[in-house]
Amino acid sequence: MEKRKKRIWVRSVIQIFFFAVVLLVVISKSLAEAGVSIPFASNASLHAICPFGGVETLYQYITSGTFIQKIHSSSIVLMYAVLFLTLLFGPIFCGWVCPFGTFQEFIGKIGRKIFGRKYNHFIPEKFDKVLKYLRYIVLALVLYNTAVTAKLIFQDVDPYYALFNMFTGEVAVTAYIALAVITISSLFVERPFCKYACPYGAMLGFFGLFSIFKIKRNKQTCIDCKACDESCPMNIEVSSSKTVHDHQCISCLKCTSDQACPINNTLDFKVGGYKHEN
Amino acid sequence: MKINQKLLGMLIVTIIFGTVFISSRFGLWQTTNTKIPQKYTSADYQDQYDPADIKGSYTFGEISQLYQVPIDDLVTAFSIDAGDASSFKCKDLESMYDKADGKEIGTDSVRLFVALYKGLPYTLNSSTYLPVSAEEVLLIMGNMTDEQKQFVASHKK
Repeated sequence: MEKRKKRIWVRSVIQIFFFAVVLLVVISKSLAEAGVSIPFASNASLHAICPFGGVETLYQYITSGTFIQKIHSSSIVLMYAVLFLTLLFGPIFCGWVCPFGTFQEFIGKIGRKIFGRKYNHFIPEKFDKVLKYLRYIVLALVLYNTAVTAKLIFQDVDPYYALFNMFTGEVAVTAYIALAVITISSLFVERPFCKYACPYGAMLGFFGLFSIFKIKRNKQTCIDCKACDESCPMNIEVSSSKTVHDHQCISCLKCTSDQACPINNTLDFKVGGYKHEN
Repeated sequence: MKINQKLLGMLIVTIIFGTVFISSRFGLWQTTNTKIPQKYTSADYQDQYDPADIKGSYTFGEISQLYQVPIDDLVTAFSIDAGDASSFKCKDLESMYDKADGKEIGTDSVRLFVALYKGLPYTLNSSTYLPVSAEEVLLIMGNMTDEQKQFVASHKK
């Protein structure tokens, strides 16, 4: 049964909520250092609530039982929570929770207004396919150098850190440059940092391949309109798969029958196949 | 079995905040330092705090108390204002010393200094540097091995 394309607000609400939580934590921390405290807001730093910090400190934690500088046990707790979510639903942290993903999406909305259908299609597919593996190199470099130095070395080039600590005076020039590059790139490409450079996205993308829930396409009811391909922020060719097994999928569900797909029960986030399907 | 966006949204919030809540109940949710460093695990030093666990938020006053290093020696070694010494945080060294030459003086420097000052085991890291004044204090203390002396001589600024 055909239906009109619906505007789904749930994901946006969740994204804004987590963005606001992180912003509140950062503001609370800054005020705490100035001797002012916000009721109900914790005194945690941005690093303390970042699950990637748990990944970065894992080597030191296993080998010496201590954390690398600026990281606390909260990061490890969040790392496990996000890993659990990923094994259930894929890299849902990227698509629904990560405030830097939300920021890039927001800038992308401006890019989409400027360039229309051309937006997110500037990079030729053959280059895009290769560039998408760059983030695994970034992940390997970050993990190796963090293990060797026991320092949070990624902070100096981390655009996410630069965004939320812009006015603290603690951000390296290189991180500001990274933020500027990502912001400008987001006007042309959707989620450029997630696609090509995010080390945590690389790790979650890998574990997402083993998730229980996946995007599934019902070949019998699919009308091959390619609305799913058009809607995918990560440029995945959803219309050619029965099950989406792509390390770039962020489980945003934009392609599903809940949103872009015009046919009910044709593209769903589910376990198992469709009834009456060959 | 399929899942829609509303249910998924609720599950994400529940799992993340549920994990935070449960880990808090079991004392696993720490977002700040406890100010009690780890002790060495080896039998020879098991009653000693490990300098490797000094955090950037530790003040010189706390380090002096925990590791039994006179605060005057910390002041001399890192050339800080004696009046602010007790509340001076290790991480503040990073902004105090220029790192344009790639040689950073920071929390790692304090860890190294405390270990060598007390003659405690410590893994020498090639990216750690000490001020010249710290080398002078360490030489007076005389707890360094020849290898450590060579390391410090080649890692000062």
